[in-house]
Amino acid sequence: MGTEYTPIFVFLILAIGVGSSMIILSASWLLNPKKTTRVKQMPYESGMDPIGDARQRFDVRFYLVAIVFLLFDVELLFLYPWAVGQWSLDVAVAPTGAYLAGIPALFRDLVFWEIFVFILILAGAFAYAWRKGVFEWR
Amino acid sequence: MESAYEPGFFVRNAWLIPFFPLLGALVTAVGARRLRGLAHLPVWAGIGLAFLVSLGTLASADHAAKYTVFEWLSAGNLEVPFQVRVDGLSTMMLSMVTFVSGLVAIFAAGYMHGDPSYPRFFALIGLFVASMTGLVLSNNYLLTYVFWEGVGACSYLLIGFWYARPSAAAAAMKAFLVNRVGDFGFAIAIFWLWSIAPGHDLSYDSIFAAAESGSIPTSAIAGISLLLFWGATAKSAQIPLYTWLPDAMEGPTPVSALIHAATMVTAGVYLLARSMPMVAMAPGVQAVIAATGCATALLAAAIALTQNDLKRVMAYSTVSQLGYMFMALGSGVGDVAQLAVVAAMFHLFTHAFFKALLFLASGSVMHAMGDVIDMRRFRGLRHRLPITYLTFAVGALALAAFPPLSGFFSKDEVLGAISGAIHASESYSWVYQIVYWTALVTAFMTAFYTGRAFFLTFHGPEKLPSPNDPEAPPVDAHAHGHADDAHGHHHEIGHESPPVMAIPLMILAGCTVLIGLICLVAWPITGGPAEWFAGHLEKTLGFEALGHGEHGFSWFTATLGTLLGVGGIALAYVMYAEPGPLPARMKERFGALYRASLGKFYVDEFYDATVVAIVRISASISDFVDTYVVDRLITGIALIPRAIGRARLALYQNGLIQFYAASSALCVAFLLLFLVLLGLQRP
Amino acid sequence: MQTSFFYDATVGTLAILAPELVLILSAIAMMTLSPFVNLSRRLWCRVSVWSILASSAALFWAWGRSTDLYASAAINDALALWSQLLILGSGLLVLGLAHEEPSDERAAEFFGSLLLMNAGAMLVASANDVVFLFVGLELVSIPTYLVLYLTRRTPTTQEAATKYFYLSILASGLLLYGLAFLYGSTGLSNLKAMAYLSSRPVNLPNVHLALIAIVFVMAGLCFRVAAVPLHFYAPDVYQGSPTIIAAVLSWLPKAVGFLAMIRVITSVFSQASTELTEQATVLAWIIAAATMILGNFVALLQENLKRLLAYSSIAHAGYLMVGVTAALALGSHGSALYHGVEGIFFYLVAYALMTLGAFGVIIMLRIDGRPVETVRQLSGLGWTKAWPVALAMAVCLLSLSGIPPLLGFWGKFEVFASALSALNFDDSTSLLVLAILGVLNSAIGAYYYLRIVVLMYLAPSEGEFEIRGGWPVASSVGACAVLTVLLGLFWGVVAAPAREAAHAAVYLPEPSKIAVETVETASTMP
Repeated sequence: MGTEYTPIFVFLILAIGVGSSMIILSASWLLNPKKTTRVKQMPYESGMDPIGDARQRFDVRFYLVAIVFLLFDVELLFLYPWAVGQWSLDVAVAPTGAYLAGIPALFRDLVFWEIFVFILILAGAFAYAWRKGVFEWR
Repeated sequence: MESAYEPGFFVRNAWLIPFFPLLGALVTAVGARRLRGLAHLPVWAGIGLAFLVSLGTLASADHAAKYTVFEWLSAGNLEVPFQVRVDGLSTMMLSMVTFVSGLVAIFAAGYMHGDPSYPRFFALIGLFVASMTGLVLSNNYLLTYVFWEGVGACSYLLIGFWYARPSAAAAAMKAFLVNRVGDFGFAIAIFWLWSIAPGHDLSYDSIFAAAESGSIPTSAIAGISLLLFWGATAKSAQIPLYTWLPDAMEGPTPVSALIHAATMVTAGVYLLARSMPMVAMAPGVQAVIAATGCATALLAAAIALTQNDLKRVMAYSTVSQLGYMFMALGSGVGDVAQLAVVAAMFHLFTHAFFKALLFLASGSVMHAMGDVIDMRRFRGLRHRLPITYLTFAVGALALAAFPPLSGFFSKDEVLGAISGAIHASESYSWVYQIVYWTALVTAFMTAFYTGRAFFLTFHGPEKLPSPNDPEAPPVDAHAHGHADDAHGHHHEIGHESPPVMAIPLMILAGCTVLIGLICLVAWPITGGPAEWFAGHLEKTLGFEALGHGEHGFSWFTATLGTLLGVGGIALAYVMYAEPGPLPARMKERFGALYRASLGKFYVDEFYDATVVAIVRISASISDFVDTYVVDRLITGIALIPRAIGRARLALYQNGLIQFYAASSALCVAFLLLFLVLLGLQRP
Repeated sequence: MQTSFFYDATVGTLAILAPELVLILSAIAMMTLSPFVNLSRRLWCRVSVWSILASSAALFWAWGRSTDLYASAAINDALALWSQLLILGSGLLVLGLAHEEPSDERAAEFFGSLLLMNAGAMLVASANDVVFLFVGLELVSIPTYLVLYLTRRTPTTQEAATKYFYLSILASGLLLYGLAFLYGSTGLSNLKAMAYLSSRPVNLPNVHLALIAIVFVMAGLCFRVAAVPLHFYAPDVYQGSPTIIAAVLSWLPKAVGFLAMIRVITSVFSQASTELTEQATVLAWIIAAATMILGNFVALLQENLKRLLAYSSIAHAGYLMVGVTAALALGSHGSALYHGVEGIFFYLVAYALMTLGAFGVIIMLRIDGRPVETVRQLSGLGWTKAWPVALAMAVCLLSLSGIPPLLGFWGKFEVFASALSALNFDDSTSLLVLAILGVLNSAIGAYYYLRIVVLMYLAPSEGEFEIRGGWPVASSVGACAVLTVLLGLFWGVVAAPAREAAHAAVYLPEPSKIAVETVETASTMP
């Protein structure tokens, strides 16, 4: 069997997965006990009131989580271009001429270790945040 | 020749000479509270070490010996390195200054004992020695000027040491102001030099070289020499700026000995001697210097004849002797130039010893008499103060130029230089002729007033000061019994001073005799009484280029000088050794002259009536203008910023960040707009 | 070929950055470790001192290594070296002043932030690339926000922190906007290359963009140095924040701002087209004059000590701007350019000592158990047992007001002399006017400084003074005062490095062939 059938398998697995999960979801909706309360009726159960003044106060703890999330998210984003560049050809040929595509071979070791240190620092920051109790909802 | 010179150990470390006393002064100042009665120790040590180094430099003296310790100032085209010059002139001065100051410092430990400001005194002494040695060591005019001012400041502080005493404060102020007048001349000389010196280099070697090579015009040399002389007249107390020196006796006696006899007043002489390679090129200025010195010597001697205050007699005698030095310097024309400098410096050298001796001896008398210094209030102290008596006698004889003491040889050198100038000078021969004869007359007067002071103090029937004396000032006068004056003279009056004071006296007396003996012994060997001194001084920058013609010992001058000296002393002996009617008769006979002399020829009054009055009037006008015009204006102007600040600028500081951000952004936008418009406006 | 050229430049840059890396790594290590170990603030402070010393060692290790000026993001010329030494030295002084300030649990973050600020300042000093410069500036700003929060949490400090934060963000935005235009006008990010390009007769690709760039970059940096029109925050923030933070704020951002101005404005544009240089000069002239006048005038009214020092800090930014103006105006006259930069550098040294000393005195002193707040509370300090503190304060204030022979006088002298050196050239009356304005302002400034000195020595004291802080604070303040006097006497010690730094700031060698090729290749990339 060649690789040309691979998409079919993928779609098959997707179809099975989505279908079964929908069945499970509707089953749970059908089978669960339905006790509606006022709080449960709200779109965001976690505490934000969607109706009311737009300039209301937020609990500052949301910001903390959001910032930590953003930080790690954005920092990890940096890894993508590196990951692409690190193992691409260093010179690609385009109709306009040759240009640099990947990280030049000479630089690869250096950049690898730089990224290593970068991740190390991120790990340190993560440990710091954890230890400081940023992830606890206090 | 210059390049082959390698600075030796002592040349490289000559900066230690000012450094040690400075360190001592600092230690004393910082540790004043802990040291208390031992405050003299650091300064003693500092001056002592400086003296040892100075002795070392004596041997390394060379006319090319200079050493840059560090770069001090470097601003634009002005470069002033902290460079020391260790040649014959400076090493001689250094050894003399540190030696005499050391002895004075030792003496002062006894004299100032118990004074509430004991540490302050010694800190100032250390500072003074540091400034003075720095002045002598430095190798350029600007640095010399800096130390020159330092010396002036120390002198101000020391004269006004008992600042709570109005007379001392006034004397200090007077000394300071008069010295400022002189410093002004020196400063202008430096500005002038700076503007014409090649490469704006103010160091002695480059300026003398430029003067010699003719790259400085003759008129400028004359002008600068005159300005330097102007500066020197104040520091070295010459006409017209000598009036501060007698008043400076308000300071403690060791200060008088140190500053106003031995060291500081020689700064002016030193400056001119140092500049001799340049000054000698201006014969007109030389004649002015000689004439001024001559007039000063005569005037001061005439005043000294009648003064009743022992220290004042010594002060005027100092002025007079400094006049001699200037006469000698002024005689440096033609081929006697070198001879003249040597004579001046030799007289300075010997004078430093015997005048310090006389001052310290006067201090000893004053100490023993319970701070009384008026010669009418004591007499015949020779039995009570035997050491003081003998040492004073040595000093007095030297001052009177009695052979074979040091003063005899140096005064003879001075007279010899002047007589040499009579022959050497082309167009000013007549000036030197007058100077020569006046100097001889002054020599007679010197011997007379010295003898008078000596006999009045030590001979005749014994008499101790008592408050009942008709000559005694009223008890409530400022000078005595004042709280700040009580520097510990609680012992009974009429006793010889303690060893710490007596020993410096004996050493100085010994030196006075010794220098005379050296001259006497060296005479046959070197062919002249002061050749040993001249040989050392010859190793001075630029001195080898000065003319040095043959000079033999002039028996005529020597004999005449000696006869006049002996005559003066003899006359004084006749008049004052025992109380007799002669002085009173003389007083009557020459009433007007006597009163003029006693009143110091009313020079102070003359100055008060003219210069001081003019200054006062202009000061009042300035004060009026300052108070009512400038101040009002300034206050008015000063109100404007405050008003603007309050009314406009402070309003914008309202604490709202929205406002801050908006106005900042607006300002930036306006700036950008403005600049763009500015750019558009250009074609 | 080109790749290895770049590689060498990159590795060389990393080596040059060793001192900054040492600081940053130790700061990160300290901060990361802090939740896991429980150590006293003194120990953290000691660690910080050691990392500054290690950084100095790294500085000497890196000194002499060179990279291609036109390819490296960082350079270590004399300007970088002396500025970094100055920053490290002042860092030690600040640590001495700050050693008691934070609580034990926040000490690591506090000292770590101080180290990061120093590292950022050093990055700016050695920056040779706009991006790098911005990173350095932010590395100063962000820890500052942190530090503002860390020490004490009272409403006033929070207000101060908030004000600083928002306005600082605004300024960073302006700056970044300007830098973007700068890149747009030249197509380059390397500052030396920009300077080289603008000094050629060919001129910049887009002059009009360059003007916008200059205005916005200048505006952004004006915030850092507390110059008009972005000075507003200074009085409020200084007054509201703890004294040690006010001290740091009055010194470090100012140094950073002026170093950045030297790197990104004066060195780049002073030799550009006459029109552009002229406009930049006018801009700097206006800012200088306005800042001096505003700072001094409003300072006359102040009673609160820290607020007074804030306005004084604004005024000094004005004096320093005179140097910037001179550096810009005289660029085309070759040797004159370095006069301006020399003045700026000299003044920064003087300013560091005198302002840290003055703030240090406020940190040290307590009256009746409370910190000193108003000018009047210093009355009679000179005759109490705290007289050495009064002496140090007097020295610093006299130096701030520019009394010779203290270092502050020579700083003013150098700056105004740089403006006056314009007299040698034809188009110079405006600079002469500026120098006169500066001297007049110093005279106005002398009033409020001397008033404090007069109060300290001639007025009766209003309470019981006590000194706190122990020997580290005392020795920091003492070092400031003593150095102000000593360096004032031997100002050649500062003038020589200042001149070297100024020469280095405008040093533009012919670029190597490979660098030119590289730039050309880069600019033809699709």
